[in-house]
Amino acid sequence: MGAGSPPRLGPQVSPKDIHLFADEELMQLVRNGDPRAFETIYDRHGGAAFSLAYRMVGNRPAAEDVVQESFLSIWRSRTRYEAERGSVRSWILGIVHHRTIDSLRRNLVHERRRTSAEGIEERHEAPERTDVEAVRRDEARSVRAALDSLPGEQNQVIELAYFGGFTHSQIAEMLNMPIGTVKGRMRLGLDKLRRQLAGELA
Amino acid sequence: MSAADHQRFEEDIGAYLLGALANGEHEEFERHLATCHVCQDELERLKGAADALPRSVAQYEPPPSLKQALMEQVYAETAPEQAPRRSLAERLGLAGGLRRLTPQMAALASALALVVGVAAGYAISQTGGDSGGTRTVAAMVDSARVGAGKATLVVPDGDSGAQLRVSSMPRPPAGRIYQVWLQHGDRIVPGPLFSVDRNGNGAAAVPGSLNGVKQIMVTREVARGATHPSEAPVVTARV
Repeated sequence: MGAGSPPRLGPQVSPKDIHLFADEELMQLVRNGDPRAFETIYDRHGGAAFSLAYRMVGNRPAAEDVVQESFLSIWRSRTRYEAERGSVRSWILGIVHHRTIDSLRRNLVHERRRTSAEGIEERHEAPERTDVEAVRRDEARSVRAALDSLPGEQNQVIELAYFGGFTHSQIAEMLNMPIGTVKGRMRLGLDKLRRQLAGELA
Repeated sequence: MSAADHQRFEEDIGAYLLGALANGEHEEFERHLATCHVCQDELERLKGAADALPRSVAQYEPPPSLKQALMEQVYAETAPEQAPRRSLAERLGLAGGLRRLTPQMAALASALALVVGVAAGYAISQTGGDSGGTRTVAAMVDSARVGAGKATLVVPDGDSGAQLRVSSMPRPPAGRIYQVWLQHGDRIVPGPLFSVDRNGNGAAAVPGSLNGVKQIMVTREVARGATHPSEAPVVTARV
């Protein structure tokens, strides 16, 4: 928000001012059914949501379906966001992650993946247009580096679980190891990731 | 909660944060979490690492059609009193289709003028009247396009909770659905979607109050609904 007299939060917020509000403030407007606030939230986080879904399902149409479902669920259950449980971005990405896992487990996405002729060459990296995006690009590098620094067996179970959508028992079967070992590696991996990222991510 | 209970769940925290618990297990763990401070502290400690994972992925631009489809649905579900307080042109401009849609809006405006000024070709399906605190508003149906269809707008006392009822209406063309529109002054706000049964009967609850609403209209739109009318109305009820 810039200096001077900031716009007041309320139903009369003008379209040109809506972009000045923080996510948490916009969510208050979304809770009151303001589609412009919702649109701004999508503009800010739709790309990250799409990128996560795309990373998990591997094709554009299925990623689009999941993102559209996720944002519609956010619009329709607008009272659910609680600021004390984290940032709006993390909350949204959590919803997208959860819904993508549902799709993967219902096998809907695998089905579409087989029928999609789309190749990886159709991917287009989003351009670095703003300072915020540049910072996020740096964050992405840091998190990737931290993930790469994990012992291979911890990295593997995190990848299979978080991005592959597999359950701990599926992973145990896949890797032919006890469930307890898989769960332990997940926890140890997250703990090590936390230590690696400490101080890097605000 | 017993120590044995906690012991049963303590290794689940990583799988929980990664979404790797099966459906039943997920809910079971959340029930435990609600009562276990040790697990709550552990969740707090590790949550940041799990939240960082989506930041590691390469970023891609979602297609503009995704936003367009999403916002069309959102506007279709927007209550009239919460609908944007800007002009229709501004709203369409926001959706990026102003130039493309202007002729359609011009066509709609012309059609509305025609509805008001010329009765030929339209059947007034029912005259207005009062009955038990409810008034019935006459609706005009474009018989050239929807045949023998009839429509009435039933408005309870207080002008809230009105219902648009149709009968003998043909099913919309494949992939289309009927959509209600509310005209406030020069603004046209999207309303609910409805279809008809095999006898052509259907109804739509008009959201909010009719206070300030000049007309209720119906057009045939894409199945997910639209943010703006794409054709002249097939039903018009002047409030």
